[in-house]
Amino acid sequence: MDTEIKKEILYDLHKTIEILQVPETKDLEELKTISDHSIEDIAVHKDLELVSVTVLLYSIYKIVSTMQPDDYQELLSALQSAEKSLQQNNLGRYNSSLKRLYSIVRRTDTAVQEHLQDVMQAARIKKGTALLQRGLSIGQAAGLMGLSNWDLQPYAGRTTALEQHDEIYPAQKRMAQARHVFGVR
Amino acid sequence: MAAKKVLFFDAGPIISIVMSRLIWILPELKKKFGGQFYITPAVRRELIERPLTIKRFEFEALQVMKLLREGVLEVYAHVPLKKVRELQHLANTSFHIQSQPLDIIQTGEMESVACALEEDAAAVVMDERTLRLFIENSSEMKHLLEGRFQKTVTADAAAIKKFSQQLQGITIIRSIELVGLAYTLGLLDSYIPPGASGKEILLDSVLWATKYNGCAVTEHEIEEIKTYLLQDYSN
Repeated sequence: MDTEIKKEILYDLHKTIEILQVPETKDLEELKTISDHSIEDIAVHKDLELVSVTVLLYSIYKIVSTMQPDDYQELLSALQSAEKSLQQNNLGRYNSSLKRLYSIVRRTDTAVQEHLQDVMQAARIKKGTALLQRGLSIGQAAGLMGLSNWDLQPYAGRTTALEQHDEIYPAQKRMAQARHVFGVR
Repeated sequence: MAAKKVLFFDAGPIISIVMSRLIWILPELKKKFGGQFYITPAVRRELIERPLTIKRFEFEALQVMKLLREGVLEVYAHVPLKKVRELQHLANTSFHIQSQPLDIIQTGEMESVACALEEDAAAVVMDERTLRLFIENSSEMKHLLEGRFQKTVTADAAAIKKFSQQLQGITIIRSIELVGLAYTLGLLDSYIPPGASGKEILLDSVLWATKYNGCAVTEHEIEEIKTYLLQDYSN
């Protein structure tokens, strides 16, 4: 694993553990901030380990308030184990901890289980949209997040970044050009 | 020399049109165009093979498959791979963040453009903002990236210039313009609701549907297109 990526993942895991150790409602927003934090590194490094952790942390943010106390403790313990394993460069154990984390998210409660696909999918779409905002193409952003262009495309027309650039050709000129190409008078 | 009566479609505009429930305008537009509508094998994969594995988009894949079966869309088999790689390399080495090249475009997305160059096509139909902006206005692309990243973005002026030179003069049409053409040709007339502002309501509905289904078009542009089409149509 790349040193910079490892540093980034360790930072994200550590901050998440800190937040979950002393749970307060206001802190949940911080959990979201953490998953936002690594999006630039994903855009630059295209690292799938980082994508996986970012999607996991965003999913935790979405479901943590519905977790049962036992699941919550198990989640915290798995996060601590993932952090420790990565610090020790024990990638086998780190991957097992991540698997455990995904499985805890999966079985959190019936409601979440029912919408599991949505939680993970929503996290991927959310992060994919953040990559679009950074200027990556739909194909790049969807590919990194393990999505198809069909999943991400509806969000491409709605990014606020779209309104923040200048088009070189006015829309009316584009329309006139299209008419010319199609021979429409 | 006049460009060939050929259009290359990226996946984006077809996705926008299918999801806006306007796929039926494509055969009509093709008749009017009087030439060929091509997609590359990578675009075909994104439009058919991939969504066939996703329950939510399976029917959309079948709709595109039907267009292929009926010959409205054709797969262009002679993708100039060397050209694709060259353009891809230029695009993805044009901008750096912390000395790391920023891969902004995917190979599949570059295929349609490279094929259009190779065939001297009349235009490329593309909704994707990033590649379009890069082709039409690379300095704005740098500006956009600088604004969106907290880290410093450096641009390789030589790579950008070379990329721009190769793609100079390529015409890009978006799905929103195809929908505008469908309106101009009267294909959408049966949807005009009664009342004095019927045409305006129709335009609002189809143009916004296209935006919300993925066409990179700003709110301001939609207003501009609407004004243009309403004036034109009333003449």
